Amino acid sequence: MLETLGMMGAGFANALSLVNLFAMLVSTTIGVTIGCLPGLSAAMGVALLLPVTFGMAPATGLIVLGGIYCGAIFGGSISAILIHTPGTPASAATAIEGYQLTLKGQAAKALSVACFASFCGGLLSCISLYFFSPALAQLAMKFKSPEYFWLSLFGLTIIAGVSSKSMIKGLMSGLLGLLLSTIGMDPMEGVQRFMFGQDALYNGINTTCALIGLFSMSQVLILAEKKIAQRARATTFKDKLGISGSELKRITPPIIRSWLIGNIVGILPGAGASIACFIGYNEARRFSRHKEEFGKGSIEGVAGSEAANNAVTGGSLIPTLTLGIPGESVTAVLMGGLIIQGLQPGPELFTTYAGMTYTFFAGFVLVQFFMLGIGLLGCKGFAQISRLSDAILIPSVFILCVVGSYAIHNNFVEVVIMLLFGVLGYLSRKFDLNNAAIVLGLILGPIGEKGLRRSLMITDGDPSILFSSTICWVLIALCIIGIFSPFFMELVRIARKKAA
Amino acid sequence: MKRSDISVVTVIYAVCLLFFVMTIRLPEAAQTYPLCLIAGLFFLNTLYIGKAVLIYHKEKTMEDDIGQAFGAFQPRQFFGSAALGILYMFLLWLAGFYISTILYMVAAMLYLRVPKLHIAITSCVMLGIIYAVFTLFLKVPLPVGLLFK
Repeated sequence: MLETLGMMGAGFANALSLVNLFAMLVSTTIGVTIGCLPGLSAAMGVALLLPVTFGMAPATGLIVLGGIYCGAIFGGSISAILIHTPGTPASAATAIEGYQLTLKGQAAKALSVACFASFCGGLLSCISLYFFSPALAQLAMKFKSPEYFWLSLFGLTIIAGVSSKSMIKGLMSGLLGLLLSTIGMDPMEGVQRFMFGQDALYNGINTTCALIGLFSMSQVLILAEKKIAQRARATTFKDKLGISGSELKRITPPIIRSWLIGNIVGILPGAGASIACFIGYNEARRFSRHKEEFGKGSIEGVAGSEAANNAVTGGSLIPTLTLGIPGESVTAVLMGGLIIQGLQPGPELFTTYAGMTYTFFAGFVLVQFFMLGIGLLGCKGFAQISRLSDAILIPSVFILCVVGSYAIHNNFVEVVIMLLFGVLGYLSRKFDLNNAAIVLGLILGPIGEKGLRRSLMITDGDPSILFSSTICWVLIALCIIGIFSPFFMELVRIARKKAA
Repeated sequence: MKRSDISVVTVIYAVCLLFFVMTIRLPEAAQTYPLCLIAGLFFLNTLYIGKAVLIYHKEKTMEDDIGQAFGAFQPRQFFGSAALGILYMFLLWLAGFYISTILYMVAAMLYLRVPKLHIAITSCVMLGIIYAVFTLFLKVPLPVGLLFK
């Protein structure tokens, strides 16, 4: 306990260095900018800026990615409130009440509430990050090769099963990712696999290129196919920024409820901020004493939605960092960033690399304060940025995709790989396949393959080793639950409908 | 059943076939894992099309989801932007980062009908950001181009 407290303190001391503070300021500003631009998502922003973190110390690099993540989730609320266009799907529920407040001339109040609720949601989610992560990491210490094999399968089944319209298509996406992860050198036999004569593929497909392609390049193609629309003019602020004491009293209960909701949703793999914001909003409405205000501009609705989507950020980092199972696509990209820094999610992050991990956690806490400051001070400026036309975004993001993927190893092959993944990501979005599952397949593939083949090597090919421990059986059960969870959910829905 | 199901299933079968042909050329010990994955993908794909065919027999209608997915598709804008992007990649290799990026930004934004002042501002800002981040901060060499090597 004392040791953990000491590491937490050391983490804050490291995070408060000038370099890290500057990284927080810049990354949170970039995150809010990306978030407030309709059409650009948090996952896209994190993927696009991954190459920039290569030259940084691991903790600083992760703080940058965390800053972009939190900033983008909050940033989405700015355009949702001011121009009724959610910057990210996570702010869809905020647009309902936020824009009504804007129409009533209370845009500044709506933004203040959104900013404060986002801050509270994000800050409170850090508590669970500190509290649950080491405990889960302790459990992960018992994992050996067979357990890692089942863990990677569980990660795939849950995200493929929960986050796709069709479960089979979700699983197919995951398997496609696993198949693509076999490109490169065979880890056991040392033979070249599916390299198409390209030496650049010796170490497999570069995860960063794949991430930039699947999330950022595919978004460029999505923007390019739509008619470029004139964005609505952002409303000028008629009221003042700030929250009164009585308003604070009103929004406190929905913030606390949404914090719990967001945390649980974040920890559950497959669910994400876009789901949490609606649950948070609905619960705020259900428990409100001012139900008549909902639909006409309710600050409780804005607070409920925003606290929930930001509470997801800390929650979703827990399974990502401890077990290597990302809660949603943004954390899948963030996990890619971790692996690129040469770190593997799991117990080592809390033992060998504890210093780095606790610095990142402390940075994540401080990022929330930066988000509050930047959000309140800069919302008028961000309101104008949110009107930036897609015609400017298309070439700008395209250039960043190209430069980012070239900068990894200074070769054009990786730019071509990024482009191919961009096309794959675009088609996969069009035909209801799942980009997050493809990425997970790519990331978890090598872990699962090594786990399986090492296990079989130990027993001379006897597969009984894969069923030899209680943890294996628990993970197998979780895989089955993961696969069948959409059916269970459907059964519950039907039962509820019948009861109603 | 959706219209897109046929194309998705065909592409996945083609991927399975391509990887299968390449896998059987590998040494035997290296074949097992990829073959398991190919078999899994093949099985799921067959399961998916089987389910889709059953739905088609039941409902006797085919949903035009391709029409829905590409309803707002602007072919001229999309293929024009894509062609400019490919041209940019070629120019990048030939003339290096700065010249090709200026040309691409101007051409792409003119094509997308961005006002000239916005083109000038965006081009300067983008080049400035990339120079500051990649060249000054990360010290990553940007492509110099075949002509200037």
